[in-house]
Amino acid sequence: MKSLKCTFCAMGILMLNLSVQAQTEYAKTIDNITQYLDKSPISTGILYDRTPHYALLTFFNQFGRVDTTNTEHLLQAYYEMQQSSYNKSGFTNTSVYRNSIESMNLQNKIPIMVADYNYQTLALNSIDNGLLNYSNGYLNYVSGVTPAIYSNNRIQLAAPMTINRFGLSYTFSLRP
Amino acid sequence: MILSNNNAAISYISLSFSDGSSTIDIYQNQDVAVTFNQYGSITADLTVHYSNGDSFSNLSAVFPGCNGSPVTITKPINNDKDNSPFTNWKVPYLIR
Repeated sequence: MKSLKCTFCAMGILMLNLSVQAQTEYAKTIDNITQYLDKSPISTGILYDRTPHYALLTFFNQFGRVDTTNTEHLLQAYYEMQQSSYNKSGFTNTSVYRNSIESMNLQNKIPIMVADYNYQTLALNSIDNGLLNYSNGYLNYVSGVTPAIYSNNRIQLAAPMTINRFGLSYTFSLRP
Repeated sequence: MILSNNNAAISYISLSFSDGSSTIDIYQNQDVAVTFNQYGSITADLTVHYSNGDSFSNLSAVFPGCNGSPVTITKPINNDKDNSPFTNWKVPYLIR
Protein backbone atom coordinates (compact mmCIF):
# COMPACT_ATOMS: atom_id res chain seq x y z
CA MET A 1 0.00 0.00 0.00
CA LYS A 2 2.86 2.32 0.87
CA SER A 3 4.44 1.74 -2.51
CA LEU A 4 1.14 2.47 -4.24
CA LYS A 5 0.94 5.75 -2.36
CA CYS A 6 4.48 6.55 -3.53
CA THR A 7 3.40 6.00 -7.12
CA PHE A 8 0.38 8.27 -6.72
CA CYS A 9 2.56 10.82 -4.93
CA ALA A 10 4.94 10.88 -7.87
CA MET A 11 2.02 11.25 -10.27
CA GLY A 12 0.61 14.10 -8.18
CA ILE A 13 3.89 15.99 -8.21
CA LEU A 14 4.06 15.60 -11.96
CA MET A 15 0.55 17.03 -12.36
CA LEU A 16 1.44 20.19 -10.46
CA ASN A 17 3.83 21.47 -13.12
CA LEU A 18 2.10 20.55 -16.31
CA SER A 19 2.75 22.04 -19.70
CA VAL A 20 2.61 20.43 -23.10
CA GLN A 21 6.25 19.37 -22.71
CA ALA A 22 5.57 18.19 -19.18
CA GLN A 23 2.63 16.24 -20.58
CA THR A 24 5.07 14.30 -22.71
CA GLU A 25 7.37 13.90 -19.73
CA TYR A 26 4.44 12.58 -17.72
CA ALA A 27 3.81 9.86 -20.30
CA LYS A 28 7.52 9.07 -20.40
CA THR A 29 7.60 8.74 -16.61
CA ILE A 30 4.62 6.41 -16.57
CA ASP A 31 6.16 4.43 -19.43
CA ASN A 32 9.34 4.14 -17.39
CA ILE A 33 7.49 2.99 -14.26
CA THR A 34 5.55 0.40 -16.26
CA GLN A 35 8.38 -0.70 -18.56
CA TYR A 36 8.47 -4.26 -17.18
CA LEU A 37 4.76 -4.84 -17.63
CA ASP A 38 3.39 -6.69 -20.63
CA LYS A 39 1.67 -4.15 -22.89
CA SER A 40 0.21 -6.68 -25.30
CA PRO A 41 -3.16 -6.80 -23.46
CA ILE A 42 -3.61 -3.07 -24.20
CA SER A 43 -5.64 -3.87 -27.29
CA THR A 44 -7.03 -0.33 -27.62
CA GLY A 45 -3.56 1.21 -27.78
CA ILE A 46 -4.68 3.65 -25.10
CA LEU A 47 -3.47 3.40 -21.51
CA TYR A 48 -5.27 6.22 -19.72
CA ASP A 49 -2.68 6.23 -16.93
CA ARG A 50 -0.28 7.90 -19.37
CA THR A 51 -2.00 11.27 -18.96
CA PRO A 52 -3.30 13.27 -15.99
CA HIS A 53 -7.06 12.82 -15.59
CA TYR A 54 -8.39 16.36 -15.77
CA ALA A 55 -11.55 15.26 -17.59
CA LEU A 56 -12.12 12.49 -15.03
CA LEU A 57 -13.26 10.09 -17.71
CA THR A 58 -13.24 7.04 -15.46
CA PHE A 59 -15.84 8.76 -13.26
CA PHE A 60 -18.10 10.37 -15.86
CA ASN A 61 -21.69 9.10 -15.66
CA GLN A 62 -20.57 6.35 -13.27
CA PHE A 63 -22.10 5.20 -10.00
CA GLY A 64 -25.63 6.10 -11.13
CA ARG A 65 -24.76 9.77 -11.51
CA VAL A 66 -25.89 11.95 -14.38
CA ASP A 67 -22.97 14.18 -15.30
CA THR A 68 -22.80 17.25 -17.49
CA THR A 69 -20.21 17.68 -20.20
CA ASN A 70 -19.60 20.73 -22.36
CA THR A 71 -17.46 21.87 -25.28
CA GLU A 72 -14.26 22.30 -23.28
CA HIS A 73 -14.73 19.10 -21.33
CA LEU A 74 -15.31 17.05 -24.46
CA LEU A 75 -12.25 18.53 -26.17
CA GLN A 76 -10.22 17.84 -23.05
CA ALA A 77 -11.49 14.25 -23.04
CA TYR A 78 -10.38 13.85 -26.66
CA TYR A 79 -7.01 15.41 -25.82
CA GLU A 80 -6.52 12.95 -22.98
CA MET A 81 -7.34 10.00 -25.24
CA GLN A 82 -4.79 11.37 -27.71
CA GLN A 83 -2.10 11.89 -25.09
CA SER A 84 -2.56 8.47 -23.54
CA SER A 85 -2.48 6.69 -26.89
CA TYR A 86 0.72 4.90 -27.87
CA ASN A 87 0.01 5.83 -31.49
CA LYS A 88 -1.19 9.38 -32.05
CA SER A 89 -1.40 9.19 -35.84
CA GLY A 90 -5.18 8.74 -35.83
CA PHE A 91 -5.75 11.87 -33.77
CA THR A 92 -6.18 15.49 -34.81
CA ASN A 93 -4.89 18.47 -32.87
CA THR A 94 -7.72 19.90 -30.78
CA SER A 95 -6.99 23.38 -32.16
CA VAL A 96 -8.24 22.16 -35.55
CA TYR A 97 -11.59 21.22 -34.03
CA ARG A 98 -11.67 24.43 -32.01
CA ASN A 99 -11.18 26.55 -35.16
CA SER A 100 -13.83 24.57 -37.01
CA ILE A 101 -16.32 25.01 -34.17
CA GLU A 102 -15.65 28.74 -33.96
CA SER A 103 -16.07 29.10 -37.70
CA MET A 104 -19.39 27.24 -37.65
CA ASN A 105 -20.62 29.20 -34.62
CA LEU A 106 -19.98 32.42 -36.57
CA GLN A 107 -22.55 31.16 -39.06
CA ASN A 108 -24.98 30.36 -36.20
CA LYS A 109 -24.27 26.66 -36.69
CA ILE A 110 -23.66 24.29 -33.81
CA PRO A 111 -21.90 21.03 -34.65
CA ILE A 112 -22.61 18.06 -32.43
CA MET A 113 -19.52 16.15 -31.39
CA VAL A 114 -19.47 12.57 -30.16
CA ALA A 115 -16.41 11.00 -28.54
CA ASP A 116 -16.61 7.23 -28.18
CA TYR A 117 -13.39 5.54 -27.14
CA ASN A 118 -12.43 2.21 -25.71
CA TYR A 119 -9.40 2.50 -23.49
CA GLN A 120 -7.59 0.70 -20.74
CA THR A 121 -6.29 1.60 -17.31
CA LEU A 122 -4.06 -0.14 -14.84
CA ALA A 123 -6.33 -1.84 -12.34
CA LEU A 124 -5.90 0.16 -9.16
CA ASN A 125 -6.16 -2.85 -6.89
CA SER A 126 -3.39 -4.78 -8.64
CA ILE A 127 -0.93 -4.07 -5.85
CA ASP A 128 -3.40 -4.70 -3.05
CA ASN A 129 -4.40 -7.94 -4.76
CA GLY A 130 -0.78 -9.07 -4.82
CA LEU A 131 -0.49 -9.02 -8.59
CA LEU A 132 2.06 -6.21 -8.79
CA ASN A 133 4.64 -4.67 -6.54
CA TYR A 134 6.43 -1.35 -6.73
CA SER A 135 10.14 -1.28 -6.04
CA ASN A 136 13.09 0.81 -7.19
CA GLY A 137 10.77 3.00 -9.23
CA TYR A 138 9.22 0.21 -11.25
CA LEU A 139 6.05 -1.83 -11.21
CA ASN A 140 6.77 -5.54 -11.47
CA TYR A 141 4.77 -8.72 -11.55
CA VAL A 142 4.80 -10.53 -8.22
CA SER A 143 4.93 -13.97 -9.79
CA GLY A 144 6.29 -15.16 -13.07
CA VAL A 145 2.78 -15.57 -14.40
CA THR A 146 1.42 -12.51 -16.20
CA PRO A 147 -1.85 -11.63 -14.48
CA ALA A 148 -4.70 -9.50 -15.78
CA ILE A 149 -3.77 -6.03 -14.55
CA TYR A 150 -5.63 -3.85 -17.04
CA SER A 151 -9.23 -2.70 -16.83
CA ASN A 152 -11.26 -2.23 -19.98
CA ASN A 153 -13.19 1.04 -20.14
CA ARG A 154 -15.29 3.02 -22.57
CA ILE A 155 -16.01 6.73 -22.59
CA GLN A 156 -19.03 7.99 -24.49
CA LEU A 157 -19.64 11.73 -24.60
CA ALA A 158 -21.85 13.90 -26.79
CA ALA A 159 -22.19 17.66 -26.81
CA PRO A 160 -23.37 20.53 -28.98
CA MET A 161 -20.11 22.41 -29.52
CA THR A 162 -20.33 26.13 -28.79
CA ILE A 163 -17.51 28.61 -28.30
CA ASN A 164 -19.32 31.78 -29.35
CA ARG A 165 -22.95 32.81 -29.01
CA PHE A 166 -24.63 35.41 -31.17
CA GLY A 167 -28.39 34.97 -31.00
CA LEU A 168 -31.35 32.73 -30.34
CA SER A 169 -31.64 30.79 -33.60
CA TYR A 170 -29.16 28.11 -34.58
CA THR A 171 -28.77 25.20 -36.91
CA PHE A 172 -27.55 21.99 -35.28
CA SER A 173 -25.58 19.69 -37.52
CA LEU A 174 -24.30 16.15 -37.30
CA ARG A 175 -21.43 15.36 -39.64
CA PRO A 176 -19.04 12.40 -39.66
CA MET B 1 -17.95 15.28 -35.65
CA ILE B 2 -17.72 11.69 -34.54
CA LEU B 3 -14.45 10.77 -32.85
CA SER B 4 -14.07 7.09 -32.15
CA ASN B 5 -11.68 4.18 -32.07
CA ASN B 6 -14.33 1.49 -32.19
CA ASN B 7 -16.09 2.16 -35.50
CA ALA B 8 -19.20 3.31 -33.68
CA ALA B 9 -21.99 3.67 -36.23
CA ILE B 10 -24.35 6.38 -35.06
CA SER B 11 -27.89 6.37 -36.35
CA TYR B 12 -29.24 9.58 -34.84
CA ILE B 13 -29.04 11.81 -31.78
CA SER B 14 -32.00 13.09 -29.75
CA LEU B 15 -31.68 16.45 -28.04
CA SER B 16 -34.01 18.02 -25.50
CA PHE B 17 -33.25 21.56 -24.35
CA SER B 18 -33.72 22.88 -20.84
CA ASP B 19 -35.40 26.10 -22.01
CA GLY B 20 -38.28 24.02 -23.33
CA SER B 21 -37.76 25.27 -26.88
CA SER B 22 -37.81 21.91 -28.59
CA THR B 23 -36.87 18.27 -28.74
CA ILE B 24 -35.16 17.24 -31.95
CA ASP B 25 -33.82 14.12 -33.60
CA ILE B 26 -30.84 14.74 -35.83
CA TYR B 27 -29.47 12.19 -38.29
CA GLN B 28 -26.07 12.00 -39.94
CA ASN B 29 -25.43 14.71 -42.53
CA GLN B 30 -28.53 16.55 -41.41
CA ASP B 31 -29.09 20.11 -40.18
CA VAL B 32 -31.92 20.97 -37.80
CA ALA B 33 -32.93 24.55 -36.92
CA VAL B 34 -33.72 25.48 -33.33
CA THR B 35 -34.84 28.81 -31.89
CA PHE B 36 -34.22 29.13 -28.17
CA ASN B 37 -36.56 30.91 -25.78
CA GLN B 38 -33.86 32.60 -23.74
CA TYR B 39 -30.32 33.95 -23.78
CA GLY B 40 -29.32 32.47 -20.43
CA SER B 41 -27.73 29.16 -19.69
CA ILE B 42 -29.17 26.26 -21.66
CA THR B 43 -28.51 22.58 -21.07
CA ALA B 44 -29.21 19.77 -23.50
CA ASP B 45 -30.18 16.23 -22.59
CA LEU B 46 -28.69 14.11 -25.38
CA THR B 47 -29.23 10.50 -26.29
CA VAL B 48 -26.99 8.98 -28.94
CA HIS B 49 -28.58 6.06 -30.81
CA TYR B 50 -26.32 3.56 -32.55
CA SER B 51 -27.22 1.58 -35.62
CA ASN B 52 -27.03 -1.66 -33.62
CA GLY B 53 -29.72 -0.46 -31.22
CA ASP B 54 -27.39 0.58 -28.39
CA SER B 55 -27.57 4.07 -26.95
CA PHE B 56 -26.12 6.32 -24.29
CA SER B 57 -27.18 9.59 -22.72
CA ASN B 58 -25.49 12.53 -21.10
CA LEU B 59 -26.22 16.13 -20.27
CA SER B 60 -24.31 18.94 -21.91
CA ALA B 61 -24.17 22.66 -21.29
CA VAL B 62 -24.96 24.21 -24.68
CA PHE B 63 -24.53 27.78 -23.50
CA PRO B 64 -22.79 27.81 -20.14
CA GLY B 65 -23.44 31.52 -19.60
CA CYS B 66 -23.99 34.84 -21.32
CA ASN B 67 -21.53 36.17 -23.86
CA GLY B 68 -18.21 36.99 -22.29
CA SER B 69 -18.99 35.46 -18.93
CA PRO B 70 -16.71 32.86 -17.41
CA VAL B 71 -17.51 29.25 -18.14
CA THR B 72 -19.74 27.90 -15.41
CA ILE B 73 -21.78 24.82 -15.97
CA THR B 74 -25.48 24.95 -15.29
CA LYS B 75 -27.18 22.50 -13.02
CA PRO B 76 -28.29 19.45 -14.95
CA ILE B 77 -31.97 19.10 -15.75
CA ASN B 78 -32.39 16.48 -13.06
CA ASN B 79 -30.90 18.19 -10.03
CA ASP B 80 -31.69 15.27 -7.79
CA LYS B 81 -29.10 13.17 -9.54
CA ASP B 82 -26.42 15.81 -9.44
CA ASN B 83 -23.68 15.33 -6.95
CA SER B 84 -21.27 15.42 -9.82
CA PRO B 85 -17.71 16.72 -9.94
CA PHE B 86 -18.47 17.87 -13.48
CA THR B 87 -21.06 20.47 -12.47
CA ASN B 88 -18.41 23.13 -12.04
CA TRP B 89 -15.88 21.65 -14.40
CA LYS B 90 -13.21 24.23 -15.20
CA VAL B 91 -11.30 24.66 -18.42
CA PRO B 92 -7.80 23.28 -17.99
CA TYR B 93 -5.05 25.38 -19.47
CA LEU B 94 -3.05 22.66 -21.10
CA ILE B 95 -5.09 22.52 -24.30
CA ARG B 96 -5.18 26.32 -24.67
